[in-house]
This record gives sequence, C-alpha cells and structure tokens, in this order.
Amino acid sequence: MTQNDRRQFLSTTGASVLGACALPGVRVFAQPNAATPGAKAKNNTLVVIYLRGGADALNVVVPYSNPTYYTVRPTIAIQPEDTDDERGVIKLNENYGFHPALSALKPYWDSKQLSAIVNVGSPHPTRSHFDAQDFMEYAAPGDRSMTNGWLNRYLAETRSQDYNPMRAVAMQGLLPRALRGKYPVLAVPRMSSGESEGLLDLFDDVYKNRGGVEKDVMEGELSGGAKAGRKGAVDVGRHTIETLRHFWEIVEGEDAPPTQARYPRSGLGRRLKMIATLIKSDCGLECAAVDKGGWDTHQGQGSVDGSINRLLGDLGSCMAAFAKDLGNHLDRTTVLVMTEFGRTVAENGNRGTDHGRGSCMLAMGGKVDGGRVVGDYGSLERKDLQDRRDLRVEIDFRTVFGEALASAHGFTAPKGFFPIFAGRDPLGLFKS
Amino acid sequence: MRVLFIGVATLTLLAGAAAQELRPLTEDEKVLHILSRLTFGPTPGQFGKVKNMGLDAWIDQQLDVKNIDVSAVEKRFNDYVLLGTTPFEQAQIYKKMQEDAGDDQMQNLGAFRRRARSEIRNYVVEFAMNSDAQLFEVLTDFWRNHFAVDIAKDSVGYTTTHYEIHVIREFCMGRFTPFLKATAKHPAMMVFLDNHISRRPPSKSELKQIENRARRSGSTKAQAKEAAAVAKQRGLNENYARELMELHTLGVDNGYSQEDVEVVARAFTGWSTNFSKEGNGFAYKDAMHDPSRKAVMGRSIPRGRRETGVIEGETIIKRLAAHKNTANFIATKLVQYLVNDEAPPKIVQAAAKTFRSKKGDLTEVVRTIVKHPEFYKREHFKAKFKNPLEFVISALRATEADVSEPRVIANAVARLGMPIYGCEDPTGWEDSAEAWRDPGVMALRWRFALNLARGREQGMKIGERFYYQLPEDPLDLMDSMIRKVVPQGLGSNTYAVLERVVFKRVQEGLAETERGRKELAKTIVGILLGSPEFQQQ
Repeated sequence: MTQNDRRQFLSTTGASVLGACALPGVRVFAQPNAATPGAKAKNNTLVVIYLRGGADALNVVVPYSNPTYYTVRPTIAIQPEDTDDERGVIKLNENYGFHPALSALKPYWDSKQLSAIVNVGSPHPTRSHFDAQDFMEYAAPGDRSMTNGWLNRYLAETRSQDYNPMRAVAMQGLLPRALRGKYPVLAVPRMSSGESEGLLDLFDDVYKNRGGVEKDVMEGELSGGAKAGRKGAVDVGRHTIETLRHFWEIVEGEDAPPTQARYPRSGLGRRLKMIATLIKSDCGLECAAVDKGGWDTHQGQGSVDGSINRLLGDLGSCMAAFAKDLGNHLDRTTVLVMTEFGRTVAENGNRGTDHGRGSCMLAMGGKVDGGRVVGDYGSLERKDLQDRRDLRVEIDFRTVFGEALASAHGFTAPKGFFPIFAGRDPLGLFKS
Repeated sequence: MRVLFIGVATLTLLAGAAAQELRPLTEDEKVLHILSRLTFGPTPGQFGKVKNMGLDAWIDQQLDVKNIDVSAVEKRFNDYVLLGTTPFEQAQIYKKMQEDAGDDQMQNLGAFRRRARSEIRNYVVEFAMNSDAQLFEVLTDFWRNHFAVDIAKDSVGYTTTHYEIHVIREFCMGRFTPFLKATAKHPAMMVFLDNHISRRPPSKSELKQIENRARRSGSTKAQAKEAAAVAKQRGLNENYARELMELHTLGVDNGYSQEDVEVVARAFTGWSTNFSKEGNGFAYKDAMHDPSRKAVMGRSIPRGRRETGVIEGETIIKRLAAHKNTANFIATKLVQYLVNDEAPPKIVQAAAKTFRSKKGDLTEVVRTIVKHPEFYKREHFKAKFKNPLEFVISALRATEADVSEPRVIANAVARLGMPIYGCEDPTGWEDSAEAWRDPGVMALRWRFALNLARGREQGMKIGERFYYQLPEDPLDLMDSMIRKVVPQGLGSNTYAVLERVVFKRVQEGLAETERGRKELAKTIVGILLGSPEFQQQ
C-alpha cells in the first residue's frame, strides 16, 4: 500500500463514513445524489468464495454419463441414481449432475441463476497450493512480482475522490490475497459485535485528537517523529473505531435489514449472512471475499459419506440461504466459487484424490446466464488427460474473472491488468 | 474554502519546521530511545540497569553477541524434536513417523508440518521475549524479513528450523557475502523461490516449434506466443534470480536489466535440493544446468572445469554482495528499521561506507548506525509504529508476563497480520508505519492488550510480582503502572482518560481494598498497552 493511498484513506474516513451508507439516522443530513459520494445507489456486488485446498471438480460437477468416471473412481464416485444405500447425483442435464450435498442449489439452477464452469484453471503447471493460490488471487500465473490482488487492482483502478471504507470487505482478520494491495480494504476482525463494541467504547476516549497543543506528560510539548507518530497511531485507532462501529451498525444495528433466511451455523454461514446484510443496506459494497478451507482431500474424501459431502453440504446450504436472504438483491449480486486447482481424475489408495490441474467454478446471481455447464470434461481416459492424470485446463480462470468484473461492475480490464494474458474467446457467462 | 485552509496550514507547518531545530534528547531519553529500538521493548527495571552501566558500554556489550549467555533460553528447547536437525535428518524423522503410522499417512504429514511450524515459531518468540542478547534478536527479525521464506510453501515448512538457526542466526551479525551464499544454498530459499526446479530452458527453435504447433491447432498469434512464453517458464525459472538482485542485494531496478535477470537465472540452474543425502538438503545437479557462456551486468562470468554452475553462481553472489548499490540498499533498509521510516541520508551514507570498507561486516554496519550522532535526534524519538511482533513481545516484556505456551504468542502475532515465517511475498513485510495501519486491525491489538492485562488468554499471564505491593494511593498506583509500562512518557489525553478511570473507581469505593486496587491496576495496564503511546517506539 502506498503512503498516499493510506493517507487519503485516513484523512477522508470521518466524512465518508457518515456519508456513504443509507443509515436512516444519517440520511437526514445527506442530500440525495449529492452528499453520498463513493456510494452509488443500488450498486452491484461481486462475492468471491474461495475453496482452499483444491476442490475435487469431478465430485462437485459429476460427469455421470461417463463410464470411465466410474472405472477410475471405484469407491468415491457419485452414483447416477438414488439407491437404497446412498443418494445419486442431482441431474443438471443428460451428462452432468451436482453432488447430492448441493441439493439446496438446484432451485437456482432451475431458475437459471446458477452455472457451473468445468476444466477451468491456470495455465501454470504448479501443483503447489501456495503458488496456485498466489497466482490465482493475483491473477498473474508464474509472476511472483505481483503484490496486488485482482480485486484490489479493480478497486484501485476505479477509485473515486471520496473514500468509502465499505467498497470492499473481507470477513476475516487477515485479508485474502485477492483483496490485498494498494487499495485499503476493511478486514473485519473475528469477534462478536458485543466484544467489538466493548473494545471500541473503552478506547474511544483514548484515541482522540483533542486539537491544540499535543502534550506529553514527561516530555512537555510533543515534537518531531513522536508528534507525527502519535497522530498516526491516533488516526488509525480513530478510523478503526469509526469504521467498525459503522460496520456493526449496518450489520446489527436497529435499522439493519432483517435476515430473510436460515443460515447454517458455520463460519461460512455467519460470514455470508453479514455480507448479505451489507448488500441489502446499500452501503456501496462492491467486492467481498470469504474463504472456506478443508478441500485438500487426500484421504477419506469419500463419495456421499466422506469429507467432501460435509463440505459441499455446508457450501450449498450457505449459498442457498444467501440467495434467499438477498431476495431481489440477488439480481445485482454475483457469487463466484473458485479453488486453486482440481484433483487427480483417478482416486488414490486412501479414498481420496491428489493435487491436479483443471477444476470447476460456480457462478450464481441474477446476472448469470444460468442453467449451463460451461466447458466439458471430455473423455477422462488416461491418454486424454493432462500428464495422464489430471483434467486439462481448457478455460483460463482470468477469462472468468474478466467477465465477472465486466458484468458486475461494467469494468473492462485495461491492458496489463492481467499480465501476459492475451485473452480468450468470451464464454458468455453472464447476460449481456 | 477547504483548499485555502489546507494551504495555510501547510505554510504554517513548513515555516515552523524551518525555524525550529528540535532540542536534543536528554540522557534519560537517550536510554529510552536505545531500549525501544535495540530491544523488543524495555522490561521494568531495564532502564535503571542500562543507565547505571552507561549507554555506550551497554551497546558495546550487545554488539559483542558471542559473549552474551543465552543458555537459559536455549534450555527451554531441550525436548524439541526438529530444532537443530538438518533437513536430511528431518526427512528421516518423517519417514519413521510414516512407518510407525501405517495407513494414516496424510494425517501424519499434517502433524509433521504443524510440529515443524510450531517449533520454529515458539523458538523465535521465546528468544525475542527472554534473550539477553536483545539487539541480536532484533536483528534476526530484520534479516528473517530481508531473506524472507514462507513456511506454508511445500517443503519450506520442514527446512525453516534449520534455516533460522544455521543461516539467519549464524550470519546476521557476521559478514554479508557468506550470509547471502548460505541463503542461496539453503533448500528453504531454493524451494520458496522455485530455483530447485529451474532448468536449462528450451532453445529458440524448440520454442518456435511450440508456437507453430499452437498456431496449427487454431490459436491466435497472441495466444501462440503466450503458449511459448508459458513453455519457457516451465524450464527456466527466474524467481530466485530476480529476487536475488531486486530484494536481497541491489534493490529494485537498481543497476541490472531484465536480460541480467535471465542470465543470472541460467547461472543458477542446477542449484537444487536433495533430502535423501546427508547434509542441509542442498544439491547441485549438473544435468539441469545451462552451459551457455554468460555475462552479467557487462562482466563475463568465469567457468570451472567441473560443477560450472556452482562456480558461476558463487561468482555472481560475490559480485552482487560487493556492489556499491548493495551497500546502499542494505544500509537504507537497516536505517529504516533501526532509526526512522524515512531513513536519514547521513546515517545511510555512513552505514553504506562501513559496509564497503569493512567488507560487509554487519556488526560494524549496525555499530555505525547506532553510534551515529544523528541517531539520537529528537525527530526519531518514538517515531516508529510497532509492527505486530514488536507490539506483542514488547507488551509481554513490559509486564514481565509468564508465558507457559509460546504457541499462544505466535498465534497472537499471526492474528495481528504478521505470522512468523509466514509472509507470502518474497518482499517480506514492508517496514513502515503505513503498512501496518490497516483498517480494523487496532481492535485486535486492543483485545490482546486487555486479555493480557486481565489474564484472560490461556498460556500467558502477568505474574503476581508485577502487581505486588501496589501503592495505597490510587493516583500513585496509576503513576507506577505508567512508569513500568510506558516509561517513555504518556500523552496528556491518555493521562486524562486514566485519571477519569481512577476517579470513577474511587467514587464507587472500589479502590479501597488490595483486591480492588489490583483490579484497577489491571484496567490501567490494559488501557496503557492499547494506548497510542504503546504502539510507538
């Protein structure tokens, strides 16, 4: 983060925090169309859910019509039909079906607000979680010199004079790489609103610039670095207090829009619920990111009984609750579910799968041209696979990122936004 | 109106700065300044000790690190399995764990990773808190960050314990050239920056073939070129070469070209890893080496008869380490770290000069910086914002906290955004106040402050001796806590807030008993640790 960005953000915080959001108590003072800089009314939001660990595409979007799938996965394949013992796939078309744990998402498929993208991934051959996540979140495969995340680059490219701290949030104490970089993004620390408010109240008086001469009990009048340093520390504390109060006011205050769905009691559910509230409150949220870990299923992945069943169950019901909660606001919301790579086509000796290449993504929202599986796994015969073991990467993840930014924010990536990327034929993931 | 106001304010500021030379630090302030920069924060009583000993004598003692006894801290790690072992031995330990575990291999890999990670993090935290060689600890943190590796990446997780002890701690007060060489020949660095897989790139004709093949299968011209670029990446990997020059020695775009990066990358092909042979895991693999003749920054690189790649790489390391831009770059970063985010040029020049004349002797460079007359200028006093590690460790030192679980401390530092050996970018953490002033983050510092003061976090506790024999008078009690925790002085606003807290307790009749006073002391300490003053050093 450059110093200028930070300074601008600290110095404009006070004003923008009050101006940006549609808090009824504040709206009285705000002139419509004039005094709400930085926050377009009813703007669109792009929500990224990152599945950390490399999700197994073939058991999320199941190619149930392909006999090879059943040959290479004798114990972990998802059956084409329900049997007495276990549930079968949720059929999406004549070739593909969702893992049954994703049943909550089927209505959104049927209403064409949900698509799946398969054989998607990075051109870089790495099978390291670290590098693959790095390259994907910076949208710069193979380029380790990039230090601004793709969403952060978008925010920086489209900044306006007035800083709105609610343009982007990460619902975790540390920003995911996609949001890290020059543009200051709020990371909401993981604590209850009660604890948070207690802390903010306690330190409210301590973090005040009283104006006038800044004095030190021992030193007398402050000077030099101590003066600037103290002011810097007070400013960041002040900013923390105001922004977090503002955040909790939107999310849990008296005028917080009511939650219209039952979320699972999971980390993802809790976070998506808060993001939905932010979207509904029209506070100018443009990007949000949440992580869901646990997808590195080397063993005990299972079919409808193992870890992936549990993970997908949570993912599906959280996303469905999110969509329901948003109601009409889903029309201006795009959810992208992604992961760093797929897994081996064949299962390993531990009822699991190992690091692979091509994977899948999900896109949900009113702007999605939905009800489609974009891409095709192809034959799954060894000879047709990447390195005779993995799904090929046919769709570059940057094409998806580009189309998502264009659809949600009318943003056309300038040259160099995605380094050394020549671009691909459009996928048409979203309605034009 | 607003523009005018800002203009006037700026003019006033400039006029003020020009007119007024800040008064020098008092002797006491000098001691506090030194303690806040050359240690992870003073412990109560340390001020008196250093003052009695004399500032210069104390600094000299700290610079003579070999004669500081740290065996008491060392002893705490007797039962750590992986510390002190080589990557080869670690591979053996892991193999045995796998055999013992039978089927449950992946679970074991996870356990092994966690073990390695927690051992090294605990080690760093314990030494930072308790070692008497405080300047050494402060410098290890600088160099750990300069030669950053991320424990989360692949095998770096297992080799970092060895890297910390046998590279960072071994060389950080020694000479720069062998230090740089030791990082280059360590598997932690090789793997982190992908050099272990870097090999002779495909030839131009091979690349052309790839491009043509792509064209034939229907790609556009740009896409075909990209396919060739990707194929090129798969052979030669420039990561290490680039960071070697950009981050470890010369500084970004400072005297080398993109072509140099590529040639240096070719020179280092073959510098790789092998964990199945005795040793630290470094292995030179000649078959991967690019045999072409090379010149870097306009000078040709001599070749040997055998192990050409080792000779080429070592030659480049020596030349880069001796380059004047390296002296300037290292000097600037060290001065930023020890003095001020805006490195004062005179100290930088002096430090760079020492770097060159003393052949990269890092102890002498530090001596030049801390003994420079400008080091004590008032404009540097309390001018630096503590990074998360400095904040957490200084809080524990200021309160003489008992830590039974160093893991808890390492986790706290990670939650505040600075996991030890966990910076994903090879740049390391940016050393500036701006970089740490993230929206939202102060709330976590406040929580840590209160939890520590009130003994609410498992594994760390302020001992009874800290709250022992509290003054009867509540205001005296407050002053004594301030002297202990923020000896460098408190702002009038924070002081007034504390006074109000004390008066309220007195009014409510809650400061009369020993127990009540202890509760009051805890509240005061919590506020002090969370105050803006405590964030600065």
